[in-house]
Amino acid sequence: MNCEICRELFIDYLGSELDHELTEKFSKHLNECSQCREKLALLSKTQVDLKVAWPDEEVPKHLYFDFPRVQSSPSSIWSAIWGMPRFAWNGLTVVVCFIVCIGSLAFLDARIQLEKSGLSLSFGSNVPAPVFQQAQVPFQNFVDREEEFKKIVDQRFRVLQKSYEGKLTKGIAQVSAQWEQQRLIDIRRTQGDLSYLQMLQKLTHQESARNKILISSMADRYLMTQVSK
Amino acid sequence: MGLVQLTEKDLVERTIQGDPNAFNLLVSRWEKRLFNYIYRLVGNRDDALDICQETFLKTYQQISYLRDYKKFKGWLFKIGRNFSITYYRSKNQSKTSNVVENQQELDNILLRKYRETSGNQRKLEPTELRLLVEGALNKLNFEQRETVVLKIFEGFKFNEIANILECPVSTVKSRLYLGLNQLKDILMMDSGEKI
Repeated sequence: MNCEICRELFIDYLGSELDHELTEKFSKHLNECSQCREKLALLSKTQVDLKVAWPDEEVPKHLYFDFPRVQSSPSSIWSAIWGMPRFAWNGLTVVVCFIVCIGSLAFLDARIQLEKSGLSLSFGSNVPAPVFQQAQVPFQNFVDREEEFKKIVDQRFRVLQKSYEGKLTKGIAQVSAQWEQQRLIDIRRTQGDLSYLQMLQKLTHQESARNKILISSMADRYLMTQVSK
Repeated sequence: MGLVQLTEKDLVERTIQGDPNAFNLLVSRWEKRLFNYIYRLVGNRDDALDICQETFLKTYQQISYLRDYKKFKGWLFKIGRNFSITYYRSKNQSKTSNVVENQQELDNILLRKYRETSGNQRKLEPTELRLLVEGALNKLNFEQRETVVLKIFEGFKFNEIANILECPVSTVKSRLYLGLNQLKDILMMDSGEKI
């Protein structure tokens, strides 16, 4: 330690705020340097003189304040909140920020997925990426790892099945409704055709009965003609 | 539990809730230190008492804004300091040249006597030494003076002083070094040698 550094530490030493390690070096330098020692002694003497010359005095007249007692009001809750210690404010701020972040992500329909390459953040509807896209990178040599590939394909299939299950049900219901409507139309058309055929059959029967009567009368007339000859 | 046994935190909390007795107990615990601090800054006993009273009054009015009860001491001294600065400025403006001349004459007489008796202070009466120190402190600028008072007389740590004066610790050390050095030069027989 040189004289310049030593003098920079005078104030810390006089204020009893010099740490232990520096105190040792400081004392060592003072033992070796008479100039610094003398200057420190003068400053120390000044400090002692000041304290001795002007000691603390008693207050000439004790202070007393006659304030009215204030009843605690509901606003004291707010003052209690306002008077929370700093760590409580910090904690509250963190919680509010967390809630705002989660709320924003939920509002934007965001999804955070844990993948092999790390966490990924995506927005929009909950539709997984196509299987061929997801399987491309890890299964370039899928022939060697067929079992694993099948397992992953099954897993993806289940995910796809689950994700499309709703759409499939809706589609089936729609097709069923269309089919039922078409069936009712066909039934009505078939019923119309059937009644038409029945009417034709009835007319045919009438026509055949009329023809039968006509043929029998013509046969009778022919027989009578033959008999008369 | 009696009020006397309460900690400073309890007293501050009770004062915030509107208990005047708790506040008066706080006053009784701090009035001596605050009074002496202000007295050494302004140099007049009656004015120091008035400033002390104003400081406590403002403390009571503003105590609900105090978030950390551990900072009460520094906060109280900061309010006292602000009132003292206002007083110091008004006093400096109204000081007449006659008063300044008389004060300088008295300081010179005392200094001469102090230097003659250097190394044997018993020859200087306590009142004379006191007037000498007061005069020497008056010659410092306000920043150096308040730093010297807070550190040497009140025994605050450097970071506490920095908090009260709202400046970096390095500035506090620098002001204290310069102030103490100047006091040494005023009080000791100055041989022209500077530290």
